[in-house]
Amino acid sequence: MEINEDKRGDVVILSLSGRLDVTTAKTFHERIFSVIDSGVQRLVVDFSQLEYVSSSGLRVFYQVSVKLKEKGGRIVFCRLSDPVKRIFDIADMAADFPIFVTREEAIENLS
Amino acid sequence: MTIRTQTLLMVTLLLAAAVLATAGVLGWNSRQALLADTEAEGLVIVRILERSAAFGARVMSDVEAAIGEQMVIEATLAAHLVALGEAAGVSPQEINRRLKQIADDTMLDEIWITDEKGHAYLRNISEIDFTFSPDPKKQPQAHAFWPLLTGKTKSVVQETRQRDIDTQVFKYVGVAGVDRPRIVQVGYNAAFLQQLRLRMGLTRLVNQLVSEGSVIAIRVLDKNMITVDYAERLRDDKLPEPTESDLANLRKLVSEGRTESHLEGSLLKVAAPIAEEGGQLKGGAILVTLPTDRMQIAMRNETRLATAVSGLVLLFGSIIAIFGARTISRPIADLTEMTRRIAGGDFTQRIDIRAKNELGVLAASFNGMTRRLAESIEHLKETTAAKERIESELKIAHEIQMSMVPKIFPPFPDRKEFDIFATLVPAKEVGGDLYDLFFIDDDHLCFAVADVSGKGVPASLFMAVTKTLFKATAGNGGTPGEILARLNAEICRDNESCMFVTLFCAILNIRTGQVDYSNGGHNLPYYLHQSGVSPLENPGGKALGLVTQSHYASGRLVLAPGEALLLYTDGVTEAMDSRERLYSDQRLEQFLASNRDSSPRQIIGDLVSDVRHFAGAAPQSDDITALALRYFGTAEKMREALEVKLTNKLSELDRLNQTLAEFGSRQGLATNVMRDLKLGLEEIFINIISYGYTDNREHEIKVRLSAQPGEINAEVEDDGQPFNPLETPAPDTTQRLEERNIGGLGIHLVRKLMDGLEYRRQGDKNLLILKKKTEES
Repeated sequence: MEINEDKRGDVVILSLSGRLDVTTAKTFHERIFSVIDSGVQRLVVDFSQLEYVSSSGLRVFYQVSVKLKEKGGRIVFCRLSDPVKRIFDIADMAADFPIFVTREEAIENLS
Repeated sequence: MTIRTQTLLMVTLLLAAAVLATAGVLGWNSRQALLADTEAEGLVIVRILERSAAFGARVMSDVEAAIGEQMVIEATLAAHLVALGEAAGVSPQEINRRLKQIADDTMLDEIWITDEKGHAYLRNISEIDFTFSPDPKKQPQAHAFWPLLTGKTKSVVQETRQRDIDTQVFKYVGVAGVDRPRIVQVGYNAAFLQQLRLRMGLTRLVNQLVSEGSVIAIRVLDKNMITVDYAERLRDDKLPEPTESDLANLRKLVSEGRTESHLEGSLLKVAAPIAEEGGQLKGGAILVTLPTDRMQIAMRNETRLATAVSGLVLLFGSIIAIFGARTISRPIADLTEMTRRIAGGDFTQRIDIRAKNELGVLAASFNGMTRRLAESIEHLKETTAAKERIESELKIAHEIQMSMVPKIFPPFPDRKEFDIFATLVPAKEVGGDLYDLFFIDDDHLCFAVADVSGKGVPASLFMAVTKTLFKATAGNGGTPGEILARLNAEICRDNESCMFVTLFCAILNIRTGQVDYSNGGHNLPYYLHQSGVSPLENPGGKALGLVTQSHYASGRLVLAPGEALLLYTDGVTEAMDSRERLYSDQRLEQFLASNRDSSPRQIIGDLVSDVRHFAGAAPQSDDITALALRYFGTAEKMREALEVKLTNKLSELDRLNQTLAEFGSRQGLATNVMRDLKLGLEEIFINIISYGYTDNREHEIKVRLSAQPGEINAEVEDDGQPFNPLETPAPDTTQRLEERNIGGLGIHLVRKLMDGLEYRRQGDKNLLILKKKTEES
């Protein structure tokens, strides 16, 4: 999988593409935690290019959520691709994470 | 308002203005001339009056002088008579009687004879006792005779004048006495002189002129501006006396020696100073009031004449203007009408204007324009008809061309070893692309994609030739390289138009999956396999139709079940968007990488959509042709289940996925089915290696994939501790709340994504069967 990082003010947007499965989850975990460790408290994850996500990927988001809660930060999601949305729906991610249709809405929510 | 009306109106207005101006000027001039005439008449009258006044005055003074001399004689006679009578002792009464008798019998009216003291004791009028006085204050008139008493003078002749004592006009003459100092005075009543004046001279003339009627009034004034003569014709309204300002004006005229005339209502007043000839009246003025009736009548006649002439001129002018305007405007009206007809589509109209002016030129140009327009439209009709014919022919050609390539898919429904799909989207009505697929024998499928240089009808004809030759050539057997060499020779032989064609041709052995191919300068097809997408190796070879003796090498690859090939023409990769960017090989590779598991029909459909979406509004620049073939292997192979043995390591997930992908492509499973299966297997696999084992030793996990009608079964067998995912997983107190949720989440996903789960504990092994339907229910 690929992770693209983008900044809008103090909001960091991570765009994921490819597959977020058990093998790539580790990479993603390291990457996102290094971002948080660098002091970023507000995160947007763009799922528009992500083709696949397994529970290992979902697990990372829960870990991030716990970490950010400690630091007083937040993470929100946007632009879910169809396969991702399907998994998110089944896992009821919306109960724990704010999900937006566009990036702008997501960024605005954090601001 | 039409041009005709405008022209007419303009000409008529100009004409009317000209006529009115002329009539006005003429009328004014004649009025002025008449006024000048009348004034001249008045002046003549003034001059005549002037002279007659002078003449009258001279006669009157001559007459009075003669009378004066006569009266001196009479007074002298009376003096002598009185001297004689008194010397003879005649009584004063007697003398008075005699005097009275003389006065009664003659023209003499009064005889006064005084003594030394001025007492008129002798007189013909007994009633009045008069005594002369030397005092002028007492006797303004009579005192002049006193010097006769003193002997200072012998005679006194007084001019005729009004008497002091009454209003009578008298002339008195006196002589000194002959016997003793006396005043001997005789007096004439001068009324006759007045009558004489009336009968001749100015007054008479004035009255005569007035009574004759050619003059209304004449007023003669002396140098003191006192009226000396005035006559006025009897009319209804009397003329007013001249006012002070009138008199002042007259004085001014006299001092300047100027004549003035002015109209007062219907009267013309001419005022002129009396010149040298006026004698004693010199320095006075004459005011003549003349009637203007004559002038008025003349003016009225003049006006009537002018009106009549003006009317006639206007009438004739208007008639000429009507005809003129019609002549001028008719061509314009004709042109207008013609334009209207042309606008209505009638091009047979011609206009007939032979005028030599601009309208004539315009009409000629207009006729020319109409003729050319008609020709153009005729030409356009022909062109349109020809174009429509060509278009319909092109449409037929397109249909013929499309009928030349196989369009029914699947083309061989009873062949389960492979799936193939192709499409051709011509850029114009007909194109130069081509694809073909046919069995050479029972086991060998020949398929090809070609692109003829150029587009349109020539390219499509060449394409038809190529296709026919290709099928014939391929039917004669041989390797793809040999087929291309023979085809090239055939094409070169009759290729006078020097067209060429790039062609990729392949032969698939459906039993083994072996593909032999050869390439004549065409885009290299893509090989879609388990680990990605890559272009085929190029065996080398020029486009067909260029060089007669050309060598074409063959390449070879063996398709494993599930692998695929994509053949295409440059219409795909060189499709341009509105900013002239190419679709490009990279984009095609990316597309294939993301869609490599799809069915051929799906791949081709999505590819064409993607290319079109990329091009957007930009017109299609070239034919788009694509052919996809997926090899499934033989029917026996197809039914084979795939089994893979994994160890309990995370890195083994890759192998699991590869096996699944191979199975999926062999079975032609849809992307979403594959995705769900992949997730299910991953979750179960991770669950087993995470929680299944209490030791750190290596264990075997066996995964077996098999296809059932409409369903895929994935059996996972492990020797870990008993674990039934169908039961709610026991809470793990060592983990935090969020992580606990996740632990259950994987299993939750599997239960939701799979269409069925079966769990069995077989001996010391867990057997979990995941069931996934291949078709949407």
